[in-house]
Amino acid sequence: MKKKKEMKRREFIATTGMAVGAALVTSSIGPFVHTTMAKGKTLRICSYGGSYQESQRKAFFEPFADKFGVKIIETSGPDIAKIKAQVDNNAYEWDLADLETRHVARGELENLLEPLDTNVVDLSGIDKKALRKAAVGNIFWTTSLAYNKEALKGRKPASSWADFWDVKNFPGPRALQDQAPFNLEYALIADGVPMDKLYPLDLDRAFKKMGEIREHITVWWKNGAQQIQLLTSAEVNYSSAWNGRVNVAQTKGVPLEIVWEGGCVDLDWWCIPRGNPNKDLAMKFIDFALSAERQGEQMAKYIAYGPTNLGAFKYISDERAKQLPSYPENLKKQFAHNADYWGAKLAEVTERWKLWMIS
Amino acid sequence: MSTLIPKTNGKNQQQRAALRQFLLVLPALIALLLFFVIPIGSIFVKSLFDPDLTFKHYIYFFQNPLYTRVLWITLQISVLATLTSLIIGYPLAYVLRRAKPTVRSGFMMCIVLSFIISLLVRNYSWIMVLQRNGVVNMLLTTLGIVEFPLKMLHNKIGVMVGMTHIFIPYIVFPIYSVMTGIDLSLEKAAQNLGASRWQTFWRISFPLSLPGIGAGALLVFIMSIGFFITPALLGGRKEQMLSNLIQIQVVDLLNWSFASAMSVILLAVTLIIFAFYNRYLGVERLWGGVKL
Repeated sequence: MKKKKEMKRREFIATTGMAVGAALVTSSIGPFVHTTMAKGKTLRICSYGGSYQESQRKAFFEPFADKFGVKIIETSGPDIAKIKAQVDNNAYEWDLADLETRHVARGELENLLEPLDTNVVDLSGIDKKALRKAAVGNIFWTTSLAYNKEALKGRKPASSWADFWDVKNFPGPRALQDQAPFNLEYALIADGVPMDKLYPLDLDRAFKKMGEIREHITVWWKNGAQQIQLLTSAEVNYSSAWNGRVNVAQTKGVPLEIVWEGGCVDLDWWCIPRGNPNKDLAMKFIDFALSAERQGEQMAKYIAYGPTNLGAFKYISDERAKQLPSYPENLKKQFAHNADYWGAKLAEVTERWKLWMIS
Repeated sequence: MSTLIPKTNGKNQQQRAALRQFLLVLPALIALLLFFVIPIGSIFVKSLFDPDLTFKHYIYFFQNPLYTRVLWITLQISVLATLTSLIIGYPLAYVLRRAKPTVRSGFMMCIVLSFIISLLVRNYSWIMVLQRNGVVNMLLTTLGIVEFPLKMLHNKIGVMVGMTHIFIPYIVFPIYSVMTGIDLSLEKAAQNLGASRWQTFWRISFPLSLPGIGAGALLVFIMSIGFFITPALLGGRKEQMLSNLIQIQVVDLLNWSFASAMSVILLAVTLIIFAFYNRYLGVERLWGGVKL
């Protein structure tokens, strides 16, 4: 008996050692794997990693695993290309994925996602903007104008995209993301187009307005870590940035501010790769994770995104709620990203964008 | 070993040796077939069938000004990165060849160390060093050498610094290994016959080290053609690489046939350069010269 226990401990040490080693290796080269142990069925979930996935682990994965006796295997780095490969080859690596809207729109266009079973998933409390054909919104997140208060050295900060374009009154280096979506909308807003009349985009007008600012954009950022690094180190005074990342920097004491005015509110979605044999359990998980209580805990404690379940605000303090993208006062100042417009137009506009960038 | 094998006639033994060698190479061959030949073959097939046989993706590539211009930019950046790597790597190899063993092994350690550090870490370190209020600019402005911070990041300079740093080991080792094969007494003989140090270098050392330059430059050039993280992080809006456009087609637009066609074109460019190298310098020098 004792010997057996000893063996187990040794096995444990060996396996954890291997797991740590493997985690070290994989974390440097690709998605990491985190397992929440429980007996019974297995659910494989892919999300975007970092502090975001950590918030999901605490608010959804661990409670779900405990409550239903399910083993959850996590991976990171989802995109629709990987789902297409899984569906086409009928070899499923994920039962459930957290995806950005442009991927969802593309996935629906190519029929790669499983429609939700409304008998299992209770959608009654969910904001209408968070409902799609084959996906349900999981968070609201905002990409908007952000700045470093210290870098401005007491000057009045820009408070709109028109100010961002006004390099005389609001001087200093600026950054935007190297992509057409969001930026073209910002350009049109700066040019005076009302936020509810943005789509379909007037591309010629948008590119013309972008031309005014092009030489003043010192950095075109490519990934999420860059925007905060640029603002924190005061390499730029202004940049478009994701509100969740700005909030994380704020809690670490970095003097960043986000301007809700003219922000682009978008969603992340729960999706199931079409034909997945484990879809029933995945639906059950979605229903669990959408509940007001679960979303409330996630946003109140772990990350500053907006709940899609309107009931979740009753679990969130007023002070905290004001920092979230879907807080009604904040939401009023923003426009909603039109994924269906972009789903159809992305290929063409991306080519035009890249050509504009290099010329 | 030989005592264990019963003696048979020569031919039989030869066949056995050949079989043994084949078996030793077999795992490598299988790996090459599985992870290289089949994937590249399937990419090639995918680029031609969408779903029926078509050349439309290739035609589109050469008709759309974006793709040909980005291919041109990719080639320009690759040539520049190869040249800067050579300019820094060649003198380094030259000095290392003639350095004391202790100094040499110290330098070699440093060069190998840069292999171990992740690419992303190295790129972000360069951002810290080169940015507007980074280490270099702070030093220059406080010393009064420049009035305003220099722009060394998010342009071609940043890309060149980052890429050269990554490529140094790849260019130093081939050149160094060719140089170790050069008899240093040849230089002494030349100087003995009245050649100046400059003449000795240009007429003796440099021509003999050419195979190393060729091998290192080819290696670096081929690597830089497919590069995209460093130009993306350290470059500006004009430093767009073709591999970045391929990624957009794969991940965002799910246009895998077009992405395949772009990959095949990039591969073709690489092969053409390889063929030129083979024609004028001889491909056997690539592995003949390299004795790491």
